[in-house]
Parts: sequence; structure tokens; C-alpha cells
Amino acid sequence: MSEKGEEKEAGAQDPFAQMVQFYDDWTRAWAGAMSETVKSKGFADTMAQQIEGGLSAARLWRRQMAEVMEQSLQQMSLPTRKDVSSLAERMTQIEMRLDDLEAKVDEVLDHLKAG
Amino acid sequence: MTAQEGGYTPEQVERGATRYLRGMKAVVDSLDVPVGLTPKEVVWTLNKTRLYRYVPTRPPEERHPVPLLLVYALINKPFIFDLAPGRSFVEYMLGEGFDVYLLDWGAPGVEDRHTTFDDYVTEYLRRAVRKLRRVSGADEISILGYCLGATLAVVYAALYPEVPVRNLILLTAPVDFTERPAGSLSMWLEEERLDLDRLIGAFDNVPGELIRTWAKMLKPAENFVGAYVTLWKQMDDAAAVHGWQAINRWVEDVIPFAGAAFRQFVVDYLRGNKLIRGQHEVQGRRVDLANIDASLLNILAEFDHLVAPSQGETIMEAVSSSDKELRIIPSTHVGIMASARARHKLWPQIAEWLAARSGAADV
Repeated sequence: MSEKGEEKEAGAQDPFAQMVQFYDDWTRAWAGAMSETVKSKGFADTMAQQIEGGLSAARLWRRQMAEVMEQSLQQMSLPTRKDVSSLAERMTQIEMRLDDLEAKVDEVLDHLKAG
Repeated sequence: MTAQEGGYTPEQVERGATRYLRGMKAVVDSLDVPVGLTPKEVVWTLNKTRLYRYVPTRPPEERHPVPLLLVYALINKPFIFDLAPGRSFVEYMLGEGFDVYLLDWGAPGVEDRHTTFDDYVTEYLRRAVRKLRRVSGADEISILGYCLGATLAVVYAALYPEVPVRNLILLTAPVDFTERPAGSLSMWLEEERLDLDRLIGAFDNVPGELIRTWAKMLKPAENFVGAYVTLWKQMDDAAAVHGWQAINRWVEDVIPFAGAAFRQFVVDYLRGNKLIRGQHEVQGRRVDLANIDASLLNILAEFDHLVAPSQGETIMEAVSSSDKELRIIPSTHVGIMASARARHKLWPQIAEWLAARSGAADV
């Protein structure tokens, strides 16, 4: 039996195979058109507008949440997100300095070994 | 009703439903499927960055003396190099006698929002290479960079010519944005379409989910439907399902892009196109691509929807390497590393090219 014949046979026994067949047909017909759509300037502009709208909402929500959280945490004498991230930044700086020191120690050791 | 009468028997419906449920389970399970299983040890850490050395599988006398450092992008996770046994580039290269290291950038937190794209080179990659040379005892190294990891490798090699990078392998490296093809990410990130201040102001770091959605939107039919149809078609092949799951996990397992790094990449590299123009400066030093004299293998994918071949070709003229080769293969951005074709054709080609340039006599 040919490959297409086998697929048809499988499709007759499996209702979901028809969906797969539908997708294959749909892809042939529409995927090219969809690709052309997403390539268009109009699509890019529309998407940009949607992201812009989402960003405005996200920024507003985030600012309000940050204010509420910061006030609450300060009242409870707990560190804020800003405090923790500032501490983490300082730790990374310390790690970098340690790494540089290790590099210098390695250099000195190499020098001593050489002679 | 029977199938002959145009409907389906209860057995056929049950069989189809069972297959559907198995498919759904495979999708859900894919998010936890084990990946990155090749044995490795951490040899260096800094912040979230890890440098791994994979446990060699060949005795020392059969290994190439020049170690290989893999540098992945700042998007997604680097286990694309080590998906699963039998589908792992790392495993393959170990078998070919290479001493393999991997730089894993980790997932940036809010405290990393000020880390720039160049910081990944000057503060992290530079230190990682120093440690690699220390651990391996090798003077020269080879670097293989993939996607933005290749861009970082290029900047590193150009910025620190005093460090002996003997071989540089670039996979889908975006370095030249003179051309911004329609329907590419570079078109969507143009100044009139994306306000970086608002994006980074809203999130600090750019959410991985947003970048993933952008990438998927470039090929909507294939990514939102086609991927699952592919799974459906492979349902009776356990190995193929496992491979699909590993790739799906890689696609879905996203990490944020540090805010300042994203901003710098878009403003300086993409919109300003400063790298290929020789106008990019890091810590007061010009990043001159002519400083790169390593043997160069530049591999691009013909059907890459994220990095068009035109965005990776022109580096060939900018470097001063006398030994350089450009290969454009019929593949995609992910397929170049994760497809069966990659396993059977490209990986052996990379290993052969690199082995010929990793001998002890030249060290």
C-alpha cells in the first residue's frame, strides 16, 4: 500500500487523525499566507500597539503594588525588594573582587614556581 | 454505527481518545523531562553564572589538547547542547575526544537588571576563560558560540586579542543588522515600534515569556499548531516523543533577559549596528573585528527566522583570520543544533573541522 493509502487507512480508524490531516491541508493553504501577514509592516505596527497597551497597564499595576508592598514591609521592619536586590548587587561586586584576587594569587604562584 | 457507514466504532473512538490523552500527557510531562544529563562538574561560579567541565569519556592520550568552551545565548537555557543521551552535542564531542566546558549564564534576577550586554563579556566571559585555562592547563582554547552566545564570543575575541583563541565556531551569529528582513525580530524591535524605556521600566528585566512569544509569532502556524501535530505523528515512537519533549522543554523553559543587556543589544548592536561598523566601544576600547585571527568556522541556517543569513555572513570580511570558512546549511535556528540532520551531518563536520585544528603540535 502506498504511504498516502496507509495514512488514509489510519485516518479512517482514528478520528483525531482527521484533525491532523486537516492541519496538513490547512498548513498548505494558510501557513504561507500567515507568514506573509506577520512579515507586513501593518502587523508589526499592530503588535507594537498591543505591547504598548500592555506595558502601560503592567507599569501602573507594578508601581502601585511596589508602593503598597514597600510601605507594608517598612512598617514591619522587613527589607524591601530594593534592599534585597541592592544587597545582592553588592555581593556580586565582592565575588568579582575575590575572583580578581584569586587571579593575582595564581599569577604570583606561577611566578614563584617559575623561579 | 460502523466505520463503513461513515462514522467510527466505539473502539476507534476509544483508540483515538487514548492517543489524544497520551499526547496531552507527553506535552505536560515535557516540562519536567530530564535534560542535561551528561556528567559534569562546576569549576567556577560568579553570581548566577556557572562554568561546567564535562567528565571526559576518552583517556587523556586520546584527547585533543585544546579545550572547547561552549557559550550559549542569553535567551533560553544552554541545555540545547545536551538535550538527552543520544541527542547531546556535548556527549558527541566528548566521544570525539574534546575536553568540553560550558558557560551557563543562569537566570538574571532583579539585582542583575543593570548588567549590560558588554558586561557579560568583560565581567563574566573574560573571567570564565581565565579559569578554564587555569583548570585545563591549556594555553589556547576553542570557543563555540550559538546565537547571541556567538555574538558575545565575537566581542570577546575582538576585545582580548592577547588571549589565544585558536578556533572560533559561530552558529547563527547575529553581528550585522544592515538588513532587517520583513517579519524578523529585528524589524519588530525598531525604534518606532518598541519603547525600551517603557518595556524595561515595566519589568526591570525583559520577561522570557515575551521573547518566546515574539519568536513564536514569527512562524505562528508552525509554532502554535505544527509542533503539536509533529508530536501526534510521532506518538508511536518512544524515542522520537522523548526527543520532542526535550526540545519542547527547551522552548518553554525561558529565562528573563537582563534589562540593561537587552537595551544595549537593541540600541547599540541592532539599531546602531555598531559592531560590524567598527564603532562599538567597551570600556573605552574599540571592538575591532580585525583583531580576530583565530581559525573561523561560521555556520548559518538558510531557513533561520531569527537570524537571517545576511546578518551573519559579513563577519567573514571583517576578521583577519587567514583560515576561515562560511557554511550555510539547509536548516533552521534550532534545527542547526537539535535536529536529526544536525546529529548525523553537522556535528561530525564540526568535530572534523575542530579536530584538524586542535592538535598538540601547534600548542
